[in-house]
Amino acid sequence: MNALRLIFAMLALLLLPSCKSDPTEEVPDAAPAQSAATSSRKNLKVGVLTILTGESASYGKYTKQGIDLAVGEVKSASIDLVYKDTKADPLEAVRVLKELAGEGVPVAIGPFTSTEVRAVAAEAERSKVLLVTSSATADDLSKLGSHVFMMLPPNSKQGSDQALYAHNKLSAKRAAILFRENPYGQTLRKAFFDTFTQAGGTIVADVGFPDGEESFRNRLKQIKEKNPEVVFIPAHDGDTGRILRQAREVNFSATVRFLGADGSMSATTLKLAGDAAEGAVFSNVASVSGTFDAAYKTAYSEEPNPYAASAYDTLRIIAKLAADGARTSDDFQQRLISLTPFDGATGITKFTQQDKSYWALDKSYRQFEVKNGQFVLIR
Amino acid sequence: MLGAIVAAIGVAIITWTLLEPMVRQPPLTALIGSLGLGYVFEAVYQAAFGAQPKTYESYPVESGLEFLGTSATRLQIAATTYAVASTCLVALLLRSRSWGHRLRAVAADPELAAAVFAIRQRRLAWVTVLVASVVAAPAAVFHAASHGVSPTTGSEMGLTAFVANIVAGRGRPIGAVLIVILLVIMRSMAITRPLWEIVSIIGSAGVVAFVTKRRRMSTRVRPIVIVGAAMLAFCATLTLRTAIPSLSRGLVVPGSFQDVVPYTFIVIALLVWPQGVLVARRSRVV
Repeated sequence: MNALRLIFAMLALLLLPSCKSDPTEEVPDAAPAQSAATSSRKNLKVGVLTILTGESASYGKYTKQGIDLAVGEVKSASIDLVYKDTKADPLEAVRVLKELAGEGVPVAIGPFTSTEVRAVAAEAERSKVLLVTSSATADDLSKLGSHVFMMLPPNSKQGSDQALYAHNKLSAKRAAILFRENPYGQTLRKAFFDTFTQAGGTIVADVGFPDGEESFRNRLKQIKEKNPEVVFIPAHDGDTGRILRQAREVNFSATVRFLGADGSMSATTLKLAGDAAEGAVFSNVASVSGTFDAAYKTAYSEEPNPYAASAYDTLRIIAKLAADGARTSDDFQQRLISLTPFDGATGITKFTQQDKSYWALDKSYRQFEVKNGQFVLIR
Repeated sequence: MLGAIVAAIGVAIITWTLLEPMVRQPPLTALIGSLGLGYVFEAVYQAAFGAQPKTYESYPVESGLEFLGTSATRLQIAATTYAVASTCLVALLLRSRSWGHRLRAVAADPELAAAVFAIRQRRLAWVTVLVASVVAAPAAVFHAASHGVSPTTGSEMGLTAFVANIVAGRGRPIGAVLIVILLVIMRSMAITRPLWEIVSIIGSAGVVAFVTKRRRMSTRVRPIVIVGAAMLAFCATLTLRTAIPSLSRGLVVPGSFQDVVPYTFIVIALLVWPQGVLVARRSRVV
């Protein structure tokens, strides 16, 4: 009888993970069709570390679409793309980076998240693989070393940009902050707090919550009592979606504007918040190029995505350097450091050293407002 | 209803295959095994459904109904009503049904219940687990509609329920419910009220608990008296804060330390009443 129970239990545990909610989810090809067709004359391998499977695969999809679009346009460079799926897991990211190093890849686009970048940085330096991440933005990535390049400005700039938007564009003088108590939330919170107060505004409430918190009503009531004009929420999508929903439940005034950051700008936020998300404003890097927008819509029949635009620029820069003769990770590093301002889909890219790593500081975070359940670029 | 049936079937399968063998082991083995099983199921859920929270997209976002200086949505009112009704129903079952009598006998002394009253504990455990899962399923639906569901949903609630059962004492399910309510209120107040207010309320409840125990008050009445004392203290602090506004500006616990207040209460309660707040201390046999 005990043996029977054990067999039954093991079968159930093994079969359950196969009951996925999206049975049509597929692992995309390891290399795009364009690269495969021309691989006979492309001899520089460029790695792409991104999230191709799992719950966050939509981020990897946008990255891949941006890179594939760029590859289709670049004709002068000799590039073979080598896609590796990190599954948003830092340990997996290290494993696949080692595979890239073993295949002789000198430069890799990615990984996607700051957590993964932190995990792979040491191995990348050891293996002589240059990392150019088109999406990670944590401020502490500055400490990782001169072999790490960030295509987007750091989170602290995002917090400052949102504070200036609230003060200058929304004419807000009283702001509240409801932040997640992790490095992401605290960095954005500090930047918003400092910039908003320097601009002449007042922070009327500054409330944190721990990881895993699901009920925010008491904190929201605390904030509501202080009558803020805007509420800045530097948190992740699960948190922000619940916060927006519960803000409606505690009867926040309709005149109060909610501001979020790139970590909340996702379909999960919209699903959890429902129509309570209408009017909320999120920040992210966006496409500033009509040419890119038109090409993206033609290729994929959907609105341009910020992550796709950034990945597009990343591949084009690497292709340009490859066409100029860069072949090793040291070649790419030197050429990226001395890169003349590159006018791309997300604006001007020029790398500036911050601490030990290099950042593209000349770009601005732009605002997306939720209208009819969609993120719409407003400025 | 469908959720209740599915929950009952799921719990029955888990109990039969995994929990029953563990219950026959020493208590610590069963405890650690159960906790480990919880983590396994979190991982299985995440593998099957992903890590992102999910919710009932068709359920509309509600505005709260304002009353008595606070607000609550219809969903919250329905959930609270269900909680009260199900607690009363369980209390009634425990008092009036033979199953309830047997359950209380086993909770008081399992060996005696089996030897003297020939209570079949395995069957009793099955009935209890099934009743508990059927009662809990609608509550889970309410929670999912309000907060969404993710792999870790329920783990914190489970810990709170477990702790409340320990604090209330074995065989005191209604007392455990009251302890849970007290813990949730304390947790909520921890970040919104000055620390002096929380200490006053907990202190009042503690003093009343001590006094009622010394006077050997009935264990049926004690919880009501203790909770009543806490509520009186709450009203008194509210009145004081209204009369003297400067009292509102006392030290407030930061958000990340929200759990310190209720679990400090737990530690103190268990130090004073290790057998449970609502259970008479057993005298030693010399």
